[in-house]
Amino acid sequence: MIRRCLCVLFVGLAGCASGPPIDTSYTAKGQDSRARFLIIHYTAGGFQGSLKWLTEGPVSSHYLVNDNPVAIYGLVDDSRRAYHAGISYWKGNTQLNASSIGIEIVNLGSKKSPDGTQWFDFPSAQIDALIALVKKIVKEHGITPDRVLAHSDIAPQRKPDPGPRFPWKRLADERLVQWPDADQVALRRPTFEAQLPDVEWFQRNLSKHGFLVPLNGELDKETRNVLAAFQMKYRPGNFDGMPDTETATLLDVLNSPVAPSTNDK
Amino acid sequence: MKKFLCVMLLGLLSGCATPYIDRTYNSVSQDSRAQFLILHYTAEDFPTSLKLLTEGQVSSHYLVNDNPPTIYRLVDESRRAYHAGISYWKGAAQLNAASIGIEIVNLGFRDTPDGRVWFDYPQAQIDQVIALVKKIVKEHDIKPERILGHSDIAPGRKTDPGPRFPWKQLADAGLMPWPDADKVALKQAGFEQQLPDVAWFQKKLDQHGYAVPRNGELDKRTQDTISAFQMKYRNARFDGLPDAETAALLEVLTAPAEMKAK
Repeated sequence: MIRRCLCVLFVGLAGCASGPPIDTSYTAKGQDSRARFLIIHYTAGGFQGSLKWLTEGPVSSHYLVNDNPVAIYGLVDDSRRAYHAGISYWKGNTQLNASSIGIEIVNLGSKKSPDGTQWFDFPSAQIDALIALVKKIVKEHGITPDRVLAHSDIAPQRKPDPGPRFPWKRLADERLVQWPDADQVALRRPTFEAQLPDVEWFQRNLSKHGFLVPLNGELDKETRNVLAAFQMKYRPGNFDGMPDTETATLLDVLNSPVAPSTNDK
Repeated sequence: MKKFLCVMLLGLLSGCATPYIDRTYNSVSQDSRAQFLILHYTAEDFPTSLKLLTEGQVSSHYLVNDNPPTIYRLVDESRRAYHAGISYWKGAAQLNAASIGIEIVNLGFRDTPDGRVWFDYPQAQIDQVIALVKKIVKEHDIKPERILGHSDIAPGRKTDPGPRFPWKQLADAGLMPWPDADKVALKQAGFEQQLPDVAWFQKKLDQHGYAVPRNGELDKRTQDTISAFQMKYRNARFDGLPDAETAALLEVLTAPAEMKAK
């Protein structure tokens, strides 16, 4: 009794720090990781500046991947929220910081020159390290390939990163991101060549894919930005934000994957 | 050497080497993934609630029984539970990943010939809920205006924790903002002279945090949202219709100075 009293006294002194007693005998089946998305960025700066900005500034990311030497830095634990996504949207989800893991890649992004905008390449060794990191994260948190996204996917009006030089295809080859099946693209392309769908079709399909896009049938600035974000990822040779046959085909194939045949199961 | 072999073997077995991660640096800009605390009632007795929440498609981080008023933790706070569903608050949508959910054993309501009857929460159960909420908001630094009812984030679809849930007790415990009674009385007198139009109510409800139409029409969604607001702040009547008291409560709650909890 005295012991119990002392214990209660102790709790009193601690200012209720320990909280009420909690029974942990039962565990719910319905649960998973809070991290549902993996968002890829470039830093648009060199390593030292990027590190300082991401550790001391108002923004942060869970990981920073340096280019030379290639190295991965963990800046925020996966269990915590980092500030990398900002105002963002994907498939009905908004404000994705709380539900995502952010990877910043050291890359200068783009610079304006007399010949137009120039984009910087990602060294292959840096991408190797990134792929190993992405593999580890998606496995640990059960993140599906359709949720491994670019910052430009979730904020197409504000952000171009990781930009058109980022090799999404290499991630696709490792089955880490969604990728349109080449045979399907070839098969469906003639249909779109015969008749290019109208802007409303593009908007509807971009929305179905996951983007936040106007649904007004007009090729306005917002819609062109979303088209450019899509093209940067899947057809980086030309990301002018204009509707075209190839873009329509890629979008259609991504949105209506053929059911795997029984042999594939 | 032993360690080296172990790493080698592990790498070979798992088919891919785990990348080395340098943890020398740490960002100052970070916080808990849990930004919201959502309160529910189970609408079932304890055994059924426990079964549904542990074996079914839905779950919550905590379940608070009524008799005895025991707190059960069903999902670790670091993980996502499935309690919010389609949901929205102040620009944030799909709140499961960003919230902690507490289910409270309470039968909700039952429809009788005399109308809908709601069930009370025993005080001992509420004491436990308050102690638990205190602990959670402290650990995750959840802001007072982000302690919400399921009905706040999914009005129309959900009514829990219902009009009998004593939100005022949470406010008295310093856990959430509450409109100052004197200010409300003052504003109410003005609104009784001239009730604002539906567009004003929609604007204020939106500002407060609700997903509400902005069409100036008293449609079903707008009424459901007004009702959710009334259930929380004026639970004696939650008919979903605009009135002077509701307007005053909204006006005081959305005034910047009132956003702070005491």
